[in-house]
Amino acid sequence: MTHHTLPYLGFGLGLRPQHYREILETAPHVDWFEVISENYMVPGGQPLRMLDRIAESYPLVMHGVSLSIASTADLDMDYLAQLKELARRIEPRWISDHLCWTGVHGVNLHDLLPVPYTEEALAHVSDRIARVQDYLGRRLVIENVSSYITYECSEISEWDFVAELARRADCLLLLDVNNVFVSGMNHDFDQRAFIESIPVDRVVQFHLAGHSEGETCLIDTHDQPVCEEVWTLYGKALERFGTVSTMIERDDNIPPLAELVAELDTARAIAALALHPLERVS
Amino acid sequence: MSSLSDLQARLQADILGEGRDAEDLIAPAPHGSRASRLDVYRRAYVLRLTEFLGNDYEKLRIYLGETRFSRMARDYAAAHPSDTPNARWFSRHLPAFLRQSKAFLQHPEVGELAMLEQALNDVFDGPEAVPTTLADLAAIDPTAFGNVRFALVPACMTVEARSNATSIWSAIRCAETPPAAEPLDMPQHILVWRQAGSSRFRILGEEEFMALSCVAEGLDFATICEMLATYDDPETAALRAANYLRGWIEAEILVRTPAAS
Repeated sequence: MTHHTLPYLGFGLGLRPQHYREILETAPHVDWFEVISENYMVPGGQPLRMLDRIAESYPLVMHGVSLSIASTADLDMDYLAQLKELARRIEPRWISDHLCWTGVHGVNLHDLLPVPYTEEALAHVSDRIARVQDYLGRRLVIENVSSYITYECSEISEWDFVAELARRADCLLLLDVNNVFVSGMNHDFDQRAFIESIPVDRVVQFHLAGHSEGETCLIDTHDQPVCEEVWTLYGKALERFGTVSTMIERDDNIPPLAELVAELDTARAIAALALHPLERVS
Repeated sequence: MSSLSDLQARLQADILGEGRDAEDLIAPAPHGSRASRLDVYRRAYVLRLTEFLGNDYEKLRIYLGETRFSRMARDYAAAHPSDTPNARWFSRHLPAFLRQSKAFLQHPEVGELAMLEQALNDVFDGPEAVPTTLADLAAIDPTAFGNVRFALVPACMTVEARSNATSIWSAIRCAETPPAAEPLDMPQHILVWRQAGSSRFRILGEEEFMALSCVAEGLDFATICEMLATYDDPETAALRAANYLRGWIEAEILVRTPAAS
């Protein structure tokens, strides 16, 4: 059974201010853009004007970092109202955020903190996703995060938690392939087992990104190109999930747009090989 | 308290540096200690907030230098942990924090440089308005002009400096060595606004500042002319007022408001 009717968008990039003008002037070979929702939750000015103009030419997807869906703090209704207003303005194909919490007691740590994989957290997060979905009038797309710690109290694996969460909350999933790789290396789990456990019919988007080596673990820095191992894992994800909208994230050390478009062409080529292997021969 | 809320409260307190109490929450890691894994989040918190401040206060970061800026950022983050889901607003208390900070009591230009950068940021993404144009002005019945009132567009403000913060800002922008900080003989009124999508500022003369303040207070054009006549040569007051008006309209900072009934 298919759990969604969201469109396949092709291959996208994160929209970054450094590239606004070039995008508008050269119409690069990018099928769609993902925007960081919070960057456009401002009263007016150039960021929103640029966003409006780019929305005229490209499908957009909203990707948030502060929904804090797993927090035990109350849902921030002011934040949700701004999210809904932005969605009304740019009509994104979908809205995503992370399976994480960003703070409690009125503080925002501006980090994507992992959730303990417990029944309590499962009930808590699935209930909040359902409430947010009701408020926004659309289904949320939830992304797995990179993590550097796991909790003593976790009862199940991350992938079983994600799969069960999607089922209970009836939400959709954004599979961040780089995050699977980073967390797998950091916590010594089998990244392919993760991918094999995620329900195929819930995944509407892939993220690809680069990471860095920290002192004792990999860090999800989004500051360099996608590495070979993540490309390989992407190929495996394509074999399982088939045609899924894919985008490359770059948030630091941002290169010229042409470099990112070329990296996106690598994703296209890998997808073509994975999804249409016979065409390679003919 | 549930175990989930307890876990989140303890981990957050640890990351904020309020107590190293979270290690027993963490499962042993295959590589590195629990503490080393927690350190990733502890360090990232400070680095990320420093980066937010650096994005909003680029000139201040250059003026202070990396070491002093980072120390200041740590102090600010400790005094004002972020309470907003949008990083854009994390830095909003910085000018006031710097004005009151013991470390900068002898350096008022630091707080004023931050104030100027904050004003430039705030008008950059401030609310939209449709500004009055010279064509709109030409369409006004000349006999009714005395009753015309304007207001400032939302993405426009004036700030006051008592140091040469604007000169420091301009030198840093031109990649030049900033002048030595010094107090001004008279406070400087700085107009900060958005035009064609970009933030700008310029220093207002005393008379123009007074006239613009009258506009902001909702006084009509005839009253503003009378005020200017008391300030300087009454013969040229209307001409001076008209020149100011043209400049403000060309800068796209006025909106027409209905005449008072």
